Amino acid sequence: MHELTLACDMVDIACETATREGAERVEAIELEIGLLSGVLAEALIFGFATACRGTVAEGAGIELFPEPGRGVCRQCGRISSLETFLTRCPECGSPGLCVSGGDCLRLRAIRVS
Amino acid sequence: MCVDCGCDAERHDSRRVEVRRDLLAANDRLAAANRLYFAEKAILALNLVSSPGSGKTSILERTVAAFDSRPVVVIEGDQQTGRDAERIKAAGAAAVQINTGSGCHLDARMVAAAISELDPPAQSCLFIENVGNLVCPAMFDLGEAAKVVIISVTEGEDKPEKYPYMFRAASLCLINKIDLLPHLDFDLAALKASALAVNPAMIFIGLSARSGEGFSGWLEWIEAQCPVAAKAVRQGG
Repeated sequence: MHELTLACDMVDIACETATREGAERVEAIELEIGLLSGVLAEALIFGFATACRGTVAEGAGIELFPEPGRGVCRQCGRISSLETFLTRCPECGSPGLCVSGGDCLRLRAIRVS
Repeated sequence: MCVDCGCDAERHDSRRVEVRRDLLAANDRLAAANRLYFAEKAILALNLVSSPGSGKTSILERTVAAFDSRPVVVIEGDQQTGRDAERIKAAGAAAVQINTGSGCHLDARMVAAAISELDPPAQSCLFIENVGNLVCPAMFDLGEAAKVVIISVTEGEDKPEKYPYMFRAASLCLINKIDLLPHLDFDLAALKASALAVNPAMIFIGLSARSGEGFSGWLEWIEAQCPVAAKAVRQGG
């Protein structure tokens, strides 16, 4: 449900940028989305389809750039891939790794015309 | 193939513009402004989060009555009704109700508006009761010093693993309704193990908003957080 709020932010950023660039419309949006960002891409895209109506970003396509999760062990410092927050350190078995990647939700670029 | 972006069109008039902005940046900026406001007035702001029905408002009612070393003010978040703010006012604290309508969480802008209405006194303790929801409020920084997650013993012990974002974001876990423990099969150790699996730094305090059991530990914890806010002022000044 929070995806709708984020979709509105995405529309705002895209429209602001397009206006500043003197563009008439936003054709596509490049979105970096971490697998541990807590955001469901499908819900974000669904929300965007509604939030963009009547703006210069209406109908823009969204290209996703997924970022895998990475964690650092608080005990031994080993960096490993993190699929969920329950993943344990493969080296020493410690729980609760510090997230060092995969929590981003960033509008990378837009394509305007 | 187009030389511009590599698409299938032979040529087109569109162009790519780098943006590189976090979607949460707008909220985070407002949260930072709230945090600065709290630091300047040495206000301790705590963000209370939980599922509906865990007892957030009941805990606050008793906290308002029992915490006497600083003024207490409350921001209440619910989709509808002003009932919770009325309960807090009846308990003796200033309170402002935010109704999110269909929204599932509070954001920094809503809290900024509530602060300007509430005008909390310097060195007060501000409790922000978020919308009852263990998912969305985890993502939105309000400018608080800490998130406090509340779970009651009538819920499942494995909730932290089911809702890890919230339990990772919180610093303290209040376990409410412990007066009911003799009547339940609730496994307290299993709950703690589940929370520690997602957040090894989690601190736990068991209490009962009904009987008042365990409240001294909660009040001491609040007291211990207060100097942190005062220190932030000196550093900022």
